[in-house]
Order: sequence, then C-alpha cells, then structure tokens
Amino acid sequence: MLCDNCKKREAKIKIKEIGPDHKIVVLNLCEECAEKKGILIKQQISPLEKLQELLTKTKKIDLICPNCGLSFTDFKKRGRFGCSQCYQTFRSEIERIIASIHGARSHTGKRPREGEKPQSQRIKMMRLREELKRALEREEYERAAEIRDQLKKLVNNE
Amino acid sequence: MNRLPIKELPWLSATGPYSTIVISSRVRIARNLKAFKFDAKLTDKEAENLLALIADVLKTSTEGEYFDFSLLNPIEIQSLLESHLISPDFATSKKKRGLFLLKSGNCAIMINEEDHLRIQALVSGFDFEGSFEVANRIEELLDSQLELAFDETFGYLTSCPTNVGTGLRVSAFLHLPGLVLTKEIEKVLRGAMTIGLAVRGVFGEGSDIRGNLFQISNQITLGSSEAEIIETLKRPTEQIIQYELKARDSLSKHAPIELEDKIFRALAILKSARLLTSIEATNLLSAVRLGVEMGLIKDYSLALINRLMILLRPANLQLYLGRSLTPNDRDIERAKLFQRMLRDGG
Ligand SMILES: [Zn+2]
Ligand SMILES: [Zn+2]
Repeated sequence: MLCDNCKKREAKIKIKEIGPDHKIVVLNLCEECAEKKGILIKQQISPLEKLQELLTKTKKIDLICPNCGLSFTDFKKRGRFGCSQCYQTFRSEIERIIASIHGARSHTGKRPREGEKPQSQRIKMMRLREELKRALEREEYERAAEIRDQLKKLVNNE
Repeated sequence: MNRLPIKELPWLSATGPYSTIVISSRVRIARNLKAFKFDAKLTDKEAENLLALIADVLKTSTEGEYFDFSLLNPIEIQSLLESHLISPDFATSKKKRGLFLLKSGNCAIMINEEDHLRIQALVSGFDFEGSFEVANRIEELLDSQLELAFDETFGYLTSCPTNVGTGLRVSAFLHLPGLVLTKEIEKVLRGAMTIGLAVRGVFGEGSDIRGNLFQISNQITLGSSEAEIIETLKRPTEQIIQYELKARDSLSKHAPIELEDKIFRALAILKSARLLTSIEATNLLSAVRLGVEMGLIKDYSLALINRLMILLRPANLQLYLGRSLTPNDRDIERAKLFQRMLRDGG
C-alpha cells in the first residue's frame, strides 16, 4: 500500500486522526510523512482551529487599526494582529472570539512590574513543597529542615 | 557558532525528578514590546532595531551568547531545532531573527518569532515549577527594562489571540515505552486530551517509531493564572507517570524474557550495526533507554542515552563530526558513533 500523503513511498504506519467533522479518519503513511506530521491523534479541536472556524463565521466590518494599518478583513484572513493597539481597535469584535477560544474573558495571572509578584511566589512555594516531599522520601532530613525554613519565610512574607 | 551547545544542555542531564520517564519539562512565555508592531506588520528595518534592543538588554543584564540568525548556516539552525532550543517555525522563518542562549544552557530566548519574545526554559525531569522559575527570571528582567504589551482585560498581548493572557505554554517530554508495549497508550493519552491538553507524538500499530516519545502541554492561556496552568498540567502528568510505572512493572512480571530480549537485542544492533538511519536509531535507543531506566542495563547512564538521542539527529551529527555528510554517509557515521559511545560507555 502506498502512503496516503506523498503517494510515493510504501505506507508502514497506520494513523488515526480526528477530522474536521469529528469523525476518526484512518491514514496510512510512510515513516517519513508520519515523522513530518508529528501528530498522531489530533486534538478534538485545537485553539488555532477554533480561531479559524470562529473567524469564518465573523461578520465583515470596515475597521482599520490607526497604529499599524491592519484591517479587520486582514485579521479575519490570517488570524494575527498587527500591533498591540489592534486589541483596542477591534475590542468589541474580538471579545467574543477570545472568550470562546479560552473559555474565559479576562486575565488573572501576572502583571508587568508588580511589586509583590504573587504568582512567582506561589510557584516558588509549589517547587519548595515538591522538593520537601522528595527530601523526605530520600530521608534527607537536614535538607528537609532547610526547605521548611525557606517555606516558612515565604509564608510569613505573604 | 562553531561549538555545539548540546554538550552543556542541562535538560539532558537526567538529574531531575522522575527522569526515568519525564525527560524534560519546558516552559515557554510569549511577550511583545509595546513600542513595536507585531510580526504581521513589522518591517525588516524595525525587526533589526527590535533584535538590537532586546539583545542589548539581555547582554548587559545576564550571561549568555547572542546568535544572529543571518550569520548561521542551515545546519547550525537545524541543530538548534534538533536540540529543542528553537521552534520549527523559527527554524524555517525568512525573517530577521536572533537567539539568546543563557550561559547556564537552560533557557533560550527566541527574538522575533511569531511574538517579539519567546522565552523558553528547559530543565531535566518532572519539574514545571523549576522550569517556570528559570523563564520567569528572564521575563522579569526584560519587564524591568522594556515596556511589554499588556491589557487590563486580555493580559499580555500576543500576535495570535490563542496565546493571549499569560502567554504561557507548559509541557512535559515523556518516554512511555511501557504504555506503548501494553497498548494502553491511546487510552491514557486520550484521557489527557479530554481535559483539554494537547498531546503530540507518533506511534503506529506494531511499530514504535519516534522512540516512544510524547509531549503533553496546556492549550489555554487566558483565565487561569500561571500557578493554575502549572497545576492543570501537573496532575495528569503525575497520573501518566504512575500508569507508565505500572505498565513497566506488569511487563517485568508477565513478560520478563520478551522484555529483556527486546532491550538487549536493540543494544546489540546499536553496538554492531554498520548503517543506522535516524528513525531506526531513535527506536532502538528507546528500548535501550528502557533497559537503563529499569536497571536492566547498568553500563550506561541516562545522561549518555539522552545525549545520544540528540546527537543522532542529522544536523547535530554533522556539527559533532565537523563536516557535512550525504544521507548515506550520515547512516554510516551514525553507526560508528553508536559503536564508539556504547563501547566506551560515553
Ligand atoms: Zn509519504
Ligand atoms: Zn494594529
């Protein structure tokens, strides 16, 4: 059997993919094409595919970003913004698209030039807890005590 | 770039937690500068200014090396890709691009990828937090000196709306031969997908091509904080590790001879083949790796196996040997490399 992709080499690998209609498609590929593809079971639908789908359903509007000159039609075509101000220019059009890709409307993570850096602190504590767990597993009690002290300091600073 | 960075890549060291299953943990943070247009509208001249500005900030505030892509040859660029330091898109891009590689070797900053900045940290084993801290240190350093594009509602602004918010992608690079051999891999990975994670990897019926290597990562970047995204990925990764351990256990209980035969047969071929393609070498190395991971092979370290896994790729092999080779010559030289490295134990 020949490879479904290049139709030149012998197919050696059977691959299942979830197609655009959500049905499982079976592909027979040669090793080279399978390696190039790099994806065996694709996501139900990736955020990028979802974006493309949403953009085809979006109505045309005559708006152009004053900063970079990107038109909404260009954005609809490529799914990429031209500058940070595009988000402002097209805000009312893209709010719904972004919400439906991410299942959320607003950012809750880090912010530029934060004094306190709560996310960084939280993740540092997560790491220290993991290290503590491993130190205890290995019965390295001195190391564990050190980590406990570091954790205490972080908690007190909060 | 006359030296190959892979000698010093700490993500190959196999020193991190669970490094018998999780080869590496990666964190990628996407950022853009407010003062520059995004990729779609950035001119070559502006891109040059962007590269110079960012390279300058990085050079003066941290230790590392800057690579101007216009000065690299295709093999060197391919080698950076094979060593997991740049993305496939970045490798093939026609734009003005640069890479800053931290001296520690655990962080690479792609400049002018789809976003102005793609800060990537790679650490050994199952350690998302450690990886985040490495990338985050660079992010904070850049944030203190440059104005990043940020919006109160949307968070960090990115060229593509799928990366907006935290701009954070967390991923684990996994070696799962046990689950492939027990044919449970599809079920396990499908489980990860149903909770919204992306899974990459190749496995076919009967053939374990691509070395039983898989990658899982988050897809959603807006609405969850950085710590929450890490948590979202940690639990399923822990679960996959447990499933893989169980599968290996079951193999050594129920099919010990078949398992050892597979492992030692692979080792024998790698030690004595005269021609090795990269696909064949990758697959055989996966079996040998399993032998080392399960303590059945004691002569080699996991770090050596990791190093071979990267070194066997075409561009890395050519840079390592210091000359360009035809595909057939590569297969010959690859076989020699394995003979040498496995004989000397690295
Ligand atoms: Zn093909
Ligand atoms: Zn714009």
